[in-house]
Amino acid sequence: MKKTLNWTGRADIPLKCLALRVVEPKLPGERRSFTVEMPGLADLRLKPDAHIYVEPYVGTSSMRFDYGTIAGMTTPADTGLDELDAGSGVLFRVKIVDESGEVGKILASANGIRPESEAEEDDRKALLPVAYRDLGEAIWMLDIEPGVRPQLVLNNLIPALSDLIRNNALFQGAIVPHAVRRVLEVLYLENEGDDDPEWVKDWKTFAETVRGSEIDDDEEDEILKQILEEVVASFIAGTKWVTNFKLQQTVNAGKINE
Amino acid sequence: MSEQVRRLNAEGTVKLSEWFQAAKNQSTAAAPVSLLVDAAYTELLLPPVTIEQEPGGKPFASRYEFGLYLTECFRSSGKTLISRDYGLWNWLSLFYIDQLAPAFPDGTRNIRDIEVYILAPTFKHDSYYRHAIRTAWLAANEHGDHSRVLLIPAGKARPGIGVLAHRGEIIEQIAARQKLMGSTTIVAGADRMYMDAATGRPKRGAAGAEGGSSRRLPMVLSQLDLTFDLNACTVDQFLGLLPKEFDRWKPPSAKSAAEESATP
Repeated sequence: MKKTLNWTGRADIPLKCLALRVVEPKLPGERRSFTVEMPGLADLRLKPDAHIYVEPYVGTSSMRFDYGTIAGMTTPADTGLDELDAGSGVLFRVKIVDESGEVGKILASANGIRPESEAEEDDRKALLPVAYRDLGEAIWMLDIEPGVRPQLVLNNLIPALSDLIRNNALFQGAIVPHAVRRVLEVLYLENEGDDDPEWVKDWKTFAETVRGSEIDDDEEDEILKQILEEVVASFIAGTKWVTNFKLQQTVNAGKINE
Repeated sequence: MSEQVRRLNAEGTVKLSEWFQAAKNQSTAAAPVSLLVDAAYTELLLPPVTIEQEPGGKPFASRYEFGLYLTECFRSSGKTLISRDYGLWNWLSLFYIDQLAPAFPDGTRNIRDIEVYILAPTFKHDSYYRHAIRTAWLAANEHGDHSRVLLIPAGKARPGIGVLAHRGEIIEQIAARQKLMGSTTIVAGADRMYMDAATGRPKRGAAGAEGGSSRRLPMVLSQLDLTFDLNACTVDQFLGLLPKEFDRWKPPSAKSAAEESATP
């Protein structure tokens, strides 16, 4: 059962108000940095003197950048990400803070934001974005950090995986249902966090659409588990992976015979 | 014994993982220490770092002492470069194997879950903090003296669990949450609340489940963090925000500050 406490009226910053991009070094000696645009932040009607902070982080390493106030936005001269751990994707927190009291109070925030990717701009809003990292001997993993839109990560040591996940029904069918099931379990059975961020709403809409009816978070876990199994089964049925795989095989056999 | 630090490559990591798996199943096979310098399975860390198993001729007295030692050794390596270098941390697991899991007279070892010794490149958020070597370094590197609250456990280790693999409940609670582990304010606050300055060990009950204990701290912080900008707080301000159940743990100065701020 979800527990929600929001007694200061804290607002969520919609994703459309934030355009974050990590700039990877292109030449030796260059540093990793980031840019951010915050269109529409003023429309949230927050206190004009509230401060804006952008906090990039990787694991336990994080940095904090001051972007001035709602009324007087500034950009730091240096947005180098020198203090973040190398070898993994950067995530961002953005906070709008009322500093009129002794301790700053958060008026609005967005957490676990993945930066836009130059190559896959449309991926940012995808239900399950795909990323590529060195996974050692693992073929794939589900990156499902608390509070962050889940990602399907494929091993970049095997370049062919990029093509397989897009076009091969057998590969898709072997991986995607497990990933979908796990995300749904986390969201419906393990999530006791704060209000649903945008990506959680997207996933819940997906689950309800596949099921064809609403899913009540407050159901008993056993009933929820059963409902989630039904959702995954309906999802698999809709994808027609087996049919598509057979079709691919027939087409390939035809090409060989030609 | 001192050695130039190296990192295991993928094949070396597989070999070491296989040995740990066998040792967990009561194998008496000796640790594969020849891997440490085998060019087929390792490569030299650059810039070079020399490290000792027992600096000063004696084993480490605690993970805290060990963490501070590693911090000093890797000071010039670049924290952000080595933090996720799993080949390095796994090489160190082999180098310090006798202080992680000393062998019993019959040759078997008390091996815990594999992630205590082997860091996977996937860095799964719910297990990578369990790596005994990397987490000791990370805690000491990030939090200096305050890391003692994380690295000095309250109880004694079970037989066969070496000093370097002995972890307590406080680090379990804090290290499992990246945001807490990364906050110098929160760890310093926990250190002030839960460590006994006289004994240098956690206070009695700090690792328990009662009100204000370290097990309650993450739950309370998960709510406070939504409301207050904890990253910008001083330690006193942070302690002042904690609810009454933490009063028995707070140092006297923080208690009076909290009372003052609660006065209308």
